[in-house]
Amino acid sequence: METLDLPVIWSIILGIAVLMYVVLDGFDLGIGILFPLARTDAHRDIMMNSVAPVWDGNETWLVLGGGGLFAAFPMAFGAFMPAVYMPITLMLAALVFRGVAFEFRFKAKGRGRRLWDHTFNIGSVVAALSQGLVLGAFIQGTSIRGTAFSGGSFDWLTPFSIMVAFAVLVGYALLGATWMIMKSDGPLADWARRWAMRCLPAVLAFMAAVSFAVLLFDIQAGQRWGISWPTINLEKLLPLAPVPFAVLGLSLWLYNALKTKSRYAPFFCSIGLFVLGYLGLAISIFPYVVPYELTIWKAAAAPNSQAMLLIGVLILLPLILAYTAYVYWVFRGKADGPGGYGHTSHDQSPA
Amino acid sequence: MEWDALTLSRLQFAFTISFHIIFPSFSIGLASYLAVLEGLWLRSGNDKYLRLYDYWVKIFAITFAMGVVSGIVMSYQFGTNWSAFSQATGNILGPLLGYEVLTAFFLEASFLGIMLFGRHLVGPGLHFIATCIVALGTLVSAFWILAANSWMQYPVGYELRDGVFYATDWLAIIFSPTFPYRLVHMVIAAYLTTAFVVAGVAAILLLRRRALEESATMLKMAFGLIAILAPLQLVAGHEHGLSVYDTQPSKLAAMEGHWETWEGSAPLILFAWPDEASETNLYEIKIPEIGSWIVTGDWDGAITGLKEFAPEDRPNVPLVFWSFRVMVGIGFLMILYGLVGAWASWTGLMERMRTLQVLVVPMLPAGFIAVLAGWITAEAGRQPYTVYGLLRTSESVSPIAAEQVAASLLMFVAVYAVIFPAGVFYMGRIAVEGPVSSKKPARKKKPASRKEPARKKAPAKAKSRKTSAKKRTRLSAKLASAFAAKQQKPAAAKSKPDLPVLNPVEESPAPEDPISAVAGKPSSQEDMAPEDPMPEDPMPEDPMSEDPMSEDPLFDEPMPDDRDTGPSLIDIAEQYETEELPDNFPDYKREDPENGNS
Repeated sequence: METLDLPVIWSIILGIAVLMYVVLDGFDLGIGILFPLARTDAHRDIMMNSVAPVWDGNETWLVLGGGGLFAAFPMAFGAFMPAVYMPITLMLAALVFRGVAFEFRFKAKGRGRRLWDHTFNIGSVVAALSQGLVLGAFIQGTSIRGTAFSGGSFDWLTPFSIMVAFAVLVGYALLGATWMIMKSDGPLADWARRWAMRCLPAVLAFMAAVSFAVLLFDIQAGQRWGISWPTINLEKLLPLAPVPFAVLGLSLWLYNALKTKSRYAPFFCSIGLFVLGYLGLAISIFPYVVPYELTIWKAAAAPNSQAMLLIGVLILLPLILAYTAYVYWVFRGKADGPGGYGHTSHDQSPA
Repeated sequence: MEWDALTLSRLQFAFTISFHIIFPSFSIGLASYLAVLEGLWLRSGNDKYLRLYDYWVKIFAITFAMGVVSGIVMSYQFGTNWSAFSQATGNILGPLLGYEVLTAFFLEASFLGIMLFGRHLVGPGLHFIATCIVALGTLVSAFWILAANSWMQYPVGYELRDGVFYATDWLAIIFSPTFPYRLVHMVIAAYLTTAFVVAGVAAILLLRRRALEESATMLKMAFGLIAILAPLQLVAGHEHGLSVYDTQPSKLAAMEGHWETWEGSAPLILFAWPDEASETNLYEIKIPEIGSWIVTGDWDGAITGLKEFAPEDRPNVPLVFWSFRVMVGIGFLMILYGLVGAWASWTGLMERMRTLQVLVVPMLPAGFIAVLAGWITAEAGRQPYTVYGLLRTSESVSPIAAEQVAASLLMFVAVYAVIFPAGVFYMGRIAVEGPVSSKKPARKKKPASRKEPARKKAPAKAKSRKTSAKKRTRLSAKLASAFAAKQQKPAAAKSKPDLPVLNPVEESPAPEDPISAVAGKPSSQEDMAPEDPMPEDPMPEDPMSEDPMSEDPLFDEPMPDDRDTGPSLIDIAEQYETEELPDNFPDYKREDPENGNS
């Protein structure tokens, strides 16, 4: 046991769980964000059908993220969650609305269906914004005394967290649009391509803005990158410089893939952008699990508790990834057309 | 009562967990029922079972989604509202809940997609496996969450240092002494809950003279199960009660309404109003002597009274006392219903006697009420502790402002007040429509190939336009024959006009459908035979005059064809071939000139 640094292993596992959540639920939240912008009800049906079989599994990663934090770093779970009480609660309520909208929408007709269309959209937007607020609050740090939250009810609400919230919103929209490119043809794919093209510059602008805000105003995260305004420590910065350059390279690739109407490349480029942004964040934050108060070692559960669940993770996580991949494989291919794999959902349009 | 963060958080937890438990207690049983139905279909080839599967799986989809989203709320509330509890118990409860996510949630959520949408993509065998996996997942989930709850009720295998619990023996923690009783009690409760829903729905369908064959089957299956499980639940519940006697004396005293300690020969208090101020029971009705024997299994068994505990260490006595009695009362009613219902449904009496059907309907929600009452007994009885005897609820709450808890509580009340009626409405609408389906996937055939462009894309649509007129002619002929059948049975015809039970459009045999042809069953059983369950059906064009739900704004323009949410390519091709074209049928080019150019 002495040779294993369990908290480090657990921070990697949780990092993977949260990244899986962000990418997977990201695209289906993105579908919800773009929902009202779709041209026709037929398109909306296809969009919804393309994520209906998988949204539930995607959202389970959020439960693993929360449950994993509870199990592996209970002190962090208890210290951070009260700090973001309101955005978390908003997110939960939004996810409730959005989740049931999947089922209710297919059962509803006419006006009822219109109602659940809006619910699905608003739920997705609010969930994305709340997650951004939580992320923003996480990056900017939390007031803690001992291991308990000691800040105010609105500590999470700052210009910075609002900026992060919109960054997440636009990022999810990009994932959703590129997902739709992969899952449809014709007018719907063209529409998705146009929206991906609009989201891409916005995503880049937000990534740059958030990065600079972190580097300029947040001394601790900036130091990791060798930037302590106005001095720049190239020794620290240079080894990390490939990350922002990879972002630029990937963006060009994505732009090109959209221009050449590539089917798969845009979605995987967008995932790549998320992975890089996430990596940059991890570099800035590590080894804090509640920036800049609790390190992973200080917040860790007892070694025998971390080890207990680690055994399960090592056996079950590969299995979960395998059958998740299987489910995506079963539902591979285009989702468009009334012959897609979703619900039979064409009925009369409201007068 | 002070409206502080503690009280509000407790209210919020009670509200959200009560809302949540409704759905798992239904979906645990329903998932197993679906697995049984699909297994019976694969074994017997009787399409009745497939129709029942397709019917209940739609309801399952809704109840499962509501269970998932309300469950996510629960998992995060540990952190937001009960952070001190999370920090104290994280070492022990964290891994248990983590295993629940890893072994159950992913399994359920991933294979649910295949269960709901994948029959034509994976073939019947794999689809059945997916159903079984989802059913297994619901049970595994119950296993872990009850392991966690049992540990909170009777903590073992731990070491308490500086207010933090550390695990010393994992097997003892997972299989804590009260765990087997709780698990068995809860799983039986979930099965009973589902069985009463199935029976109640079948009775409603029979009262509406609809889906007679399927309803009779549902009644037999449901009451057969109830007749076995309801008496078994009495035994399981009693055994659980004995374990409460051993492990949680203050809860037991509140359940039994004993203020004084009895060294033996205690009475059994049937009804009373336990008055906490005077520490006595008002309006007590009791049976002398037998209490000790029932509660402890021994005529001389001692029962510790509530007065042995300081007032601040007691649970809310009237709440625990009465919720326990509600649960037990429903339990006995279930035994009665199980025995009579099994006899009546297996002899066929239930199908004929409307009085019996009417009597079954009010029991539809009985299981939910019993489950809620039972959980209130268990959880309110554990108070004032979160970890019994060791960690007080007041020491478990987060350091947060009462205002934000009030805001979140109001928000959850508002959210659930919208989605609960909506969910019940949609489930109810599916339920009263009855199992109608002519969509028959091949039982023994390989899955339909994914690459069937002709079925998937434009050609099918083009064809459908051409043939729809012909199909409509065929439809009128069918309606005429249905009407003739109605005339032949004047006795039956006096029943009220009703929703059309069989969708005549869906019944047309589809000889061009390769899958049915291979299966060798060109959907003949759906043809309007004279013994059709609903020969007295009015014309489908008939407005839904008698349907109360047609008044609802959400239920506009009912159209027979959208009843089936079956996912197959063939379904849709068939539908487009036969139905009257909906107005928005792929004319999006018309609605969206811009897309044509792009």
